[in-house]
Amino acid sequence: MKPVSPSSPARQRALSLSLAVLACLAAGATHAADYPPVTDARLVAAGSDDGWLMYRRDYASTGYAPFKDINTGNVASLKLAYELKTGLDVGHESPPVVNGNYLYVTTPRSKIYALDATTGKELWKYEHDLSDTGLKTVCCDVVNRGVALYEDKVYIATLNNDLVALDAKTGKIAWKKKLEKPDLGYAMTLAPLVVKGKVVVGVSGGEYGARGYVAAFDAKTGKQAWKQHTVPAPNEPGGDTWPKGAYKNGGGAAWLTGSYDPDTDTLLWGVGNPGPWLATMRPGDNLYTDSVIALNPGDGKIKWHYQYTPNDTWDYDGTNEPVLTDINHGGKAYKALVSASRNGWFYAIDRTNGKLIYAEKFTTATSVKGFENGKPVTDDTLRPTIDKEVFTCPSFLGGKNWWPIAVSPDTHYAYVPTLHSCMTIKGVPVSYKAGLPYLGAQFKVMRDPAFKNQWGSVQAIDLNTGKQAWTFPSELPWNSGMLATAGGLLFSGSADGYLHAFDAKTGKVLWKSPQTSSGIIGVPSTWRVNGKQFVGIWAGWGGASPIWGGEMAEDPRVKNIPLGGHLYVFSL
Amino acid sequence: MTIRILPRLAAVLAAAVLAHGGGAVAAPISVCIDDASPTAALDAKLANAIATAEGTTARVEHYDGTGGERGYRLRNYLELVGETCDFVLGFPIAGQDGLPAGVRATRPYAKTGFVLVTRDAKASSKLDALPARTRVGVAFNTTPNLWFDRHPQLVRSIFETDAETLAALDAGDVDAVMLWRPSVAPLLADARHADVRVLPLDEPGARFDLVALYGTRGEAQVDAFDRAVERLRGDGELARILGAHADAGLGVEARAARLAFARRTAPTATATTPRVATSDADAAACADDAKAKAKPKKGKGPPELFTTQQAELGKKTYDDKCAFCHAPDLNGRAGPALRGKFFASPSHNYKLKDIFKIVAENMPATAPGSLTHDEYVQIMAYILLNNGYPAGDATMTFDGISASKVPLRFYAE
Repeated sequence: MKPVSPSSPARQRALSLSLAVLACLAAGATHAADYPPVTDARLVAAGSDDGWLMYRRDYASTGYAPFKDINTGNVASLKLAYELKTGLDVGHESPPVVNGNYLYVTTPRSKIYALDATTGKELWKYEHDLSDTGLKTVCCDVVNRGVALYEDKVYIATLNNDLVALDAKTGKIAWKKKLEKPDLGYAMTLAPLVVKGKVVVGVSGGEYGARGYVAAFDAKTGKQAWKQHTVPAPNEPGGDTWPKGAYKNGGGAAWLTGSYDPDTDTLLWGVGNPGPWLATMRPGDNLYTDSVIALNPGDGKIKWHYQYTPNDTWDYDGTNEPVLTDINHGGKAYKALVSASRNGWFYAIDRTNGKLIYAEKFTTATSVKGFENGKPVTDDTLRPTIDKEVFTCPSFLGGKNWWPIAVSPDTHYAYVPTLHSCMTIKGVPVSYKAGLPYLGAQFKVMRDPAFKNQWGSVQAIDLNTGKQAWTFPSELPWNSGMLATAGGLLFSGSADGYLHAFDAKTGKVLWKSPQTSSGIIGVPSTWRVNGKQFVGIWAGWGGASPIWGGEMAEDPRVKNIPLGGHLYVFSL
Repeated sequence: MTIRILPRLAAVLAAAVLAHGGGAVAAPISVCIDDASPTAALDAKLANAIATAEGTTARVEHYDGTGGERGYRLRNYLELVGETCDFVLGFPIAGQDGLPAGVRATRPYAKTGFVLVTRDAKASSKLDALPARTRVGVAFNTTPNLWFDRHPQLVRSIFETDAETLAALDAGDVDAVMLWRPSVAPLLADARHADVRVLPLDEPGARFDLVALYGTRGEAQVDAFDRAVERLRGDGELARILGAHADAGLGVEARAARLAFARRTAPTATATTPRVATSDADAAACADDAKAKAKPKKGKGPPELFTTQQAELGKKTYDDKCAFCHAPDLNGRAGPALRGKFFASPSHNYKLKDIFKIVAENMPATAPGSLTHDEYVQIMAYILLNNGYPAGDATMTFDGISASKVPLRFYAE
């Protein structure tokens, strides 16, 4: 922050006012009434904030916190600080988002808990009204991935397509905006992202023939600022990569939170699978499905794109978070974005122009077999058609699904929760009907023959090379997000219900929590209040794996994972 | 297609004239009136008028002809006419549909049926004569839905209720509507509808007679009943009672006299508002549907499409393969509810085949298409049962339900 020079009476007054506010803050730092406004400056510097101000902590989506209070030396003494049970027996995915002493964590069915971040005392609770929906077009559990914060408000995107702004201190609704009618294809599960006074969201619905988009709304009023479809109309750039008319139900849902690069003033957002799954229905590259798109946050215009999987027929969404990081590859420095794609390849892309730097497999990947001139090449023999079944890897659940990676500047590793699975898949005739699945495929998730008795792993990948640095194998799938810290630690939760603390350098398990009451698919986060560091995570098994997981879901050890939402917060 | 539907509506089965002449009785005449019927009020007036004509009084027993969730069965009438009352008034009959043995009908006392309601001064009651692309509204699950296939130049709109159908006409959303005359008569009584024309339709299954049903109890009084009706008809009283609901007709000469009915094996729901089980009846509709369509339904009662055994087997498979996501009570968990107003939302207007395609091709999501045809059919039966579709004698088949154009609705409110 630049110091303000009190050169005018107005500025003088402004300065003394803000000093007065600061004095209040200092006097009652843990008092619930003090809510430090979440300014643009704080969001840009969120990585170094004591709180956890957004879904992936910072605009670069690193999932890395610079706290050292909890470290490799003392992590073994972590103890439970407080907990909260929700009574909901479906998937709990949201990270605790923390500002000052206020903690916000969402649950399935679009609910928010506001807690005292130190004690866990409930401050308020918001239960979104879902009485207008049968949740018919929610593919992968009735989840929510968290809130966004801006100024004095909290924002949530709901399963019935409402974007809601609430007063951060009271939970009172400030405004509410219905983006789409529910049950016709669209839903929303992602945590919004606030950039320069606009709340940015994307829609889900790629399994129901919804046409995806990213849209921005004025944070104060809810007025729509722009809306950018992820599937172009025929007269727009990229429109010629679709058969005529197919764009209307072309998918391209933008169902996970994107990143923001303040240096170039660019939003980077992942785009989901094309619809229907069966690609023979839609010859062409089908832009911008399975891509990362670079958007101008002012008007939503697309600057560039990179497509991870052209003419996808395996449901390899390109939604996985793009993490902004600087790398050195082949002796050259790049401003990069990295993403562990559903298709099993770990991509590094030049974030200034969308050119591929490198791509390396991080699990068995056969559908995309290689690259030519920086563009992925798919294996045509592994494309299913009507009545032709193929076996290919990874499965449609991906080498990694939505579970976010973390990137540490200390180790210069990316930490990737990895799924080792393949699938059989075959085409079936399909026609579009609003509100019903639009797939055109039959499939079954199978074991990856290269990973016997191992559904998952936690991998560290060297950012400069894309090569594995270490791996921690797991018999069960590993569906939890990653948190890296300056304490040399990597936190993530296992499906059998243990929050793990790994040595970020070596992958050695330094600490395991007592067993939680359910399997973990949540995203851990960390924050500091009054000099004390906390680590929080949901237990609460669910999400896509038990629904769509084929052999994996039928594996008795997976099938018998206990259910139930349960927040655990640890401290020293 | 229509031919397949019509036999049960149109077949005149047998005419058994009762030859004995009954005398007037001094005991009160006992009648049953269906409170849910749009003719209930005029049935009460008619009962009093007949009693007066016979020099006695009327005692009215009320019953609910909707029969609740499961629908009213024809065999219930056997009980009514055997034990509860002498005559069941206000029964609509087209040709002579099957009544259970022991239930008979009086001579028709009125003519009514489905009517075309329009503000178009030139409109004809002949659907063929309506101009191409005439927008015609119908109420869900009623017989007029069956006629569009014969008149492809018409554009169909389906509404949930008679009142909503008429409202669409008033709003100008449709050019004409086809509704059950006794239902629509009270709705047309206001000044707003002074300018509408009500034209009796001449389609198969459009014209109905109103009769009284009777059995052993009423047998001795039936001649007196018929004579009293003739007297009321002669002096114009009958027409006054019927009002806009029905016409008094011209007497009975042209008609076969009293009719007795052969027993039918299938339990058959009946109707004070004749309805069919589908709003869509083209050639693709399956044999299962045809059976259902043939049964006039009480209210918006759903058709019987599967057997109890199929639904029971379906429950077993459902509990094993579906309940984890959709919940044991079908109300949804991680996956959507498979029952209720959102699942079966009229605004989506899904046909059963649409839902069955998803069930059989996309489910269970862990291994789509992995169950046997029989298992999918049984699961579908269980889902339909949970949405208020009754089990019956018809066995649902894979091919049948795969082609079924029966609308998906929630009947188990």
